[in-house]
Amino acid sequence: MHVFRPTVLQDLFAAFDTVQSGAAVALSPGGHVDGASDAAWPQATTEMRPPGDGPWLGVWSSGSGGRPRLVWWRWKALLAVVSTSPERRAWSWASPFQPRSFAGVQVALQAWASGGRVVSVPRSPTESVRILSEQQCEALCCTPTFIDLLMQQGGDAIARWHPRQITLSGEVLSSALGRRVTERFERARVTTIFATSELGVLLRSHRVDGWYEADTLACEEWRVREHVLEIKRDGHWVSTGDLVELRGGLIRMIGRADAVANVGGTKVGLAEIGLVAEEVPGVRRAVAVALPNPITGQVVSLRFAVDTGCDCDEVTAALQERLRRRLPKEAWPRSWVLDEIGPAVNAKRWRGVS
Amino acid sequence: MNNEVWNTVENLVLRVHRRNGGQLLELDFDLRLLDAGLMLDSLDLAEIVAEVERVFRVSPFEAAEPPATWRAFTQYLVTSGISGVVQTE
Repeated sequence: MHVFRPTVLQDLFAAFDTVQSGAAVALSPGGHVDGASDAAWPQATTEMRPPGDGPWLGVWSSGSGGRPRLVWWRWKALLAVVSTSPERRAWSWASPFQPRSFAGVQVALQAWASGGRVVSVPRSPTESVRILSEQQCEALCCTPTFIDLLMQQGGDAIARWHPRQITLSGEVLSSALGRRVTERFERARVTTIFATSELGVLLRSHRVDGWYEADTLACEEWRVREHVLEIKRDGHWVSTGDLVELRGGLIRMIGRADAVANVGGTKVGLAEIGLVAEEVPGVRRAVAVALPNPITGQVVSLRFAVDTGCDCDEVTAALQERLRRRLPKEAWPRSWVLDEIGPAVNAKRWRGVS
Repeated sequence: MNNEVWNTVENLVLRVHRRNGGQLLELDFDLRLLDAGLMLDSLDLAEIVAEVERVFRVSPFEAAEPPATWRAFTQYLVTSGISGVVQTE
C-alpha cells in the first residue's frame, strides 16, 4: 500500500504508474496549486486498506454529510471510462479540479492514458486564462461556474485560446450557460458529465442544455423515487442523492436532495430555486441558500449575478416578480444578495450561508 | 439616527403590507407584529426580520423578552447601541 500526496494534477502520473504496476495507492489531501490547502482534511495512511488485492486507487469524496472520506476504485473500473480516441493523443489537458478528487483523477487519467500532460489551473480566472492561452491547452475540464468566470473575466487573453474540448461536470449546467459556452468556443466539442466519487461516471452527453439521454445511464437499472435518482449496482439499489427531472427519454439533474431549507417546518428545495432564477433574462448565475431566521427557523436567501450590461434594478425586480409567481410562499427568497458567484472548493460554485 | 431606525422599520413593514394588497399609509407602531390589519403572516415577518438583521446587524429577537409590538421591536433596535451607518442595498 502506498500513499501519494499530490499538489498538482501532473503529480498523479507517478501514482498511476504505481497502480499500473499492480499496487494500491491512496491519495492524500494536500496543498493546492493556488496556495489553498486541505489542512482540515484527514490524511491518508497505509492503514487505509482497499477492499481487495491488486491495483486500487483511493480518491477523496467531500462526503454527503460534509465529512471527507476515502473511496476506493478498482484500477480497471477507472480505466474503463477513459477515451481511447486517437484524436486526443498527446493533448494538454487543464483543470482546476483538485488531484485528490475523483474529478481531478479522471482528467489526469485521461491525459496519462493518452500520452498527454495535465495542467492544474488556479481558481483565479485571469490567471487561468493566461495559462490556458500560453500553454495552448487543447482541453479544459471544469465546472460550469468556472468556465462562466473565464468567459466573464478572462479579458483579451481568452481570445487567444482555442480549445478543442471542454468537459463540464460537478454542477448542474443551465441551458443559458451551455449556449454561451458553445457560442464563445464554437470550435470546441462540449461534453457534460454527471459523476460522483462513489458511483463514478453515470452520464455523459454532448447536449449543452443540462439534459442527458437517460438510456445512457451507466448502471444495471435505475429508477426515480420521490424525485431522487437511484441506480442498481451489483444487485443493490443505491441512491445518488440527486434530484432529477424526466422528460421523454431525457433526464436532468436539478441538485442535491439534501440541499433544503426548513422554512417554518416546510422543506424547500434550494436547487430548484436557483434554476428558476437562472431562467430570468439577465440573471447570469443564482444560488439559493438557507439563512437562519428567528421566526421561521430558516429563510431562503438568493445570491445572484447579473449579465454584463444589464440594469441591475430591472433584473432584480423581474427576478423577484418571477420567483414570487412561480414558487410557493415558503420558497420565496427573503434575502437578495446581488454579487459575483465565484468558484469555491474544487471550482464549484459558492454554496455558503450568506 | 433614531428617526432613521423608525423610518426604516416602517418602510420595511409597509413594503410587505402593500405587496400583500394592503393600503396603509403609515405604520401604527403599537400594533402587534402580526396584527390582522397589517396583512402579514409569519413568512412576511421572517422577511422583515431578515432585512432588519442585514441592515442593523442586530435582531430584536435577541432580546430577553421577544417584542410583541412594532414599537417594542423598533425600540430594541434604537436602544441596542446601533451607532453605525444604516446599511442600504
